[in-house]
Amino acid sequence: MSDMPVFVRVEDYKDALDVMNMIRMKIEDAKRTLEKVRELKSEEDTELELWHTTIDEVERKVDFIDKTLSEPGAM
Amino acid sequence: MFGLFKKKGRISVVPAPLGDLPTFPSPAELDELRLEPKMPVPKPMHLKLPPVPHMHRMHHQLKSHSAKPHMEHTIQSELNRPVFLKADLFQSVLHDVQTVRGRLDKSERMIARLEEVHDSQGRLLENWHSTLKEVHDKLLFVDGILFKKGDVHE
Repeated sequence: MSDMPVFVRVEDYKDALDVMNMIRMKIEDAKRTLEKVRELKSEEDTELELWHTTIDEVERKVDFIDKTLSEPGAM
Repeated sequence: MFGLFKKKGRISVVPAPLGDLPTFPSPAELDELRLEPKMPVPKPMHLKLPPVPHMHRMHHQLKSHSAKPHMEHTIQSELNRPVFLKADLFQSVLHDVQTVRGRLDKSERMIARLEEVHDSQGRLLENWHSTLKEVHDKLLFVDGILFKKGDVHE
């Protein structure tokens, strides 16, 4: 008798199925949003890399100007 | 002496006559009795039976077995039936629901942290934008000083 399977009655089974479908759709939405965020982050990394390169170039030019101004005879 | 050996009254051995008894049938009469049974023969019944409702419904279902509405009705009745889950499976489902709820809480915390990072990034970009504008103005000032040749030679 103790080995007999025990069953639990599930009320509002159809509502549970609807909620499960809704959760599945939300998960798909979250996946699409995450993919979009990933794409934006990739674009942001590209822009940051370009920004870094630009700053290095500006720094070199400023160093040149500073050097030129500090040593006028070298011009 | 005691009259033990006295002659008793004589008892007749022949029984008394039994009166009028029925006579046995003759062999011919016996054969006649065997051939002609006196049991009543049932007449054939021509009664009309009432229709069985289940049979009528089954016949209707068999006729419309491949019909789509019937299938939908069957599915609907299947959905309306009470559904049972095994207790251990139900416990497993409850455990999974708790796990999903924990993951959702963690996701909410991660999204809040991402929003904080995004706001901080926005503030840094604003600062950088103002700094860049300031540098641009200073460069213009230096450029004006260096390339105003007339002022330098005067």
